Amino acid sequence: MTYTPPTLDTFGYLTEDGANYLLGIMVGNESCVDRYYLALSAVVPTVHNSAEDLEEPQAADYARLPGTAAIDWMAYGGAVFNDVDLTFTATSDWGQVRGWALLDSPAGGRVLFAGFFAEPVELVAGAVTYPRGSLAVAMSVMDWAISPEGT
Amino acid sequence: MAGFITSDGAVYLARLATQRVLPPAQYWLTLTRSVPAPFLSTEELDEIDAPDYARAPIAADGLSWAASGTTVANTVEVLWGVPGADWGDVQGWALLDSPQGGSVLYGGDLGITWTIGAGMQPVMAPGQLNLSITVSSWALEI
Repeated sequence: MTYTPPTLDTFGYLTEDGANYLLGIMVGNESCVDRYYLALSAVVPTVHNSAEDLEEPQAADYARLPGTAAIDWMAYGGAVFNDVDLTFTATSDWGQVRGWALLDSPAGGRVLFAGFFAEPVELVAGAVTYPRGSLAVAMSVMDWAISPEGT
Repeated sequence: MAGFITSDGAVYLARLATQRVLPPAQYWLTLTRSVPAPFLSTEELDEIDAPDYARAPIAADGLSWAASGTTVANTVEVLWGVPGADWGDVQGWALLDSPQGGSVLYGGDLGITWTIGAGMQPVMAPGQLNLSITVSSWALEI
């Protein structure tokens, strides 16, 4: 099975851990990770979720997608999108997934970005590809806040 | 005193997260006579133009900022020079990546008109500069 994700009908967001991560990179409290790991989830992750809150497929052949190096994500304007095709290959049925998450570890770790599919996706044996440019995170500059207090 | 990330700031964070740039050794905080807009370039900033005015540095070294949830705050004083003459009124501020020129990463409204006279060294105390991210503001499309 080759599944092509729909366009413009699924949405995602930066999580609290993701916000902490970005600010940490910016001010030198931590370094940008070398790799991001894409996970699928039976439940839609929230902005507060940890990795333990995800319901990833339990199939033996499921693993978070490796090889998503940070450099494989492209910055374009205020958006980030995958700059390479991202493909899961299943040899068994993985069940239904409703959401996805981008983490900083192949197991456990922090949920940095997350999203949901407009419609649940039933994953059967085969390949699931997210083509280059199909995962995009856009920033809304007006909703971010920084404030010097007490001046 | 609400502030905002600028369009250049959003680009900058996106590039940081994808290893297109590395954070600088330090950032630079400037005072402006009017409140900057989110889409300003550095040339459009209404900075103090006194001959002895310079942007104030703050390091990006893992020691000068402390994180709390989705906010980081300065742990060290941000010090401008001592004005030799009046610098006048300021109403806004901006965080940049360079002592001159550079990109405006964040901007904001001081919420007051701050009159800086000769000998009045502006200082931002630890904890007064807060950088926050509103997580619900991101949208992702597949």
